[in-house]
Amino acid sequence: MPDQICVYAVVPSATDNRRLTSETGIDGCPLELVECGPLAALVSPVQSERLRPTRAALTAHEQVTATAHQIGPCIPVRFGTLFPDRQSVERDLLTAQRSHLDSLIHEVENRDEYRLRARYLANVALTEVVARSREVQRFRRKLNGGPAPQAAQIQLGELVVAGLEALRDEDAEAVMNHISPYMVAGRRLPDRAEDTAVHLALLVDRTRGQDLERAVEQLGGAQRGRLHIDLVGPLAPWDFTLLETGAA
Amino acid sequence: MPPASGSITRAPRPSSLADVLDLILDKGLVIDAYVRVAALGIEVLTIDARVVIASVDTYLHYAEAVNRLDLTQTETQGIQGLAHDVIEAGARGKTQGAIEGVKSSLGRHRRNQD
Repeated sequence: MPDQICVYAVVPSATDNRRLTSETGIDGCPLELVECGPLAALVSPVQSERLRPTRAALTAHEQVTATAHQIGPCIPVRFGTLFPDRQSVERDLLTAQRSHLDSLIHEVENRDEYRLRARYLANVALTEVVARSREVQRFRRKLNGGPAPQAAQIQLGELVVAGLEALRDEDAEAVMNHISPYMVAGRRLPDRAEDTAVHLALLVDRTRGQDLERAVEQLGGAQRGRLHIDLVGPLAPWDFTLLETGAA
Repeated sequence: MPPASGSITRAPRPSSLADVLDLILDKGLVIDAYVRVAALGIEVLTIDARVVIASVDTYLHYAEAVNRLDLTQTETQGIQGLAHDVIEAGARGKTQGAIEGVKSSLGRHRRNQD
């Protein structure tokens, strides 16, 4: 089977090539640049028709884009993007999408993505839902006596789920308001883990990164005993280069 | 793992496979005709890993949880810390579960392909 070309990221062609290609890609294949005018694609050959989403392959893809992002502006490309040869990378990606890619590169230049996830500590969310809803309290009293009809239990469960949703929306808004002065864009990510209050992707000017961290620390302090906050970054802008583009 | 008293964890990069999946799957630039991943509906893997499906079972689960809840809330800081440890342990358990889930889904898929 002839090699396919796996694309990791699109970068400006003026980037430090030696540093970009100093690592290896999926399956330890050497990284190369396909350059075309102002843009370049960071690629490696792979010897398969499709990519398997193995731990090693996913980690390599993330690692390569993270390094590219440290070196300069970088548009991460979706995992599993394979072209038949370098010519089609040049033609269908770099040439066909040039203006689109150019504007994306400028949009993410000197900016980082951060992921923020706030989780409720044990029983916090349920306790607040009960405290805020007379109806839930009434149901609780009614059902506490012993075995209750399943219909009533389902009704209580529905009330609790609705209460949790409302609580999450409020907390999401509060978190977003607190950090919005420090970000260029923010997006709420779907995350239905039971204890997640809010999961956000943030695009932040590099010069404001420390301000963001301070704001998140402040938020963590204010919410101590209620929320635990995970902040991951600076990352490549995975959530801000989502625009889908068909092959020309 | 965060200190029991701390309320924020900082990491420069995703630290587990679940976090890497979370960061990169279904993200980034898409050139439609050229995305070829050898997993049917790979998004299902992440959904498998995380979702609490809204169903009768979920409602019953919440009804039970809220009924069990002790609202006297006389917890001391120490007990809260302990509770936090338990959540962390639980979260780790979930992540491991997620990875196993991914592995088993992939395994299933491989078998289906064979």
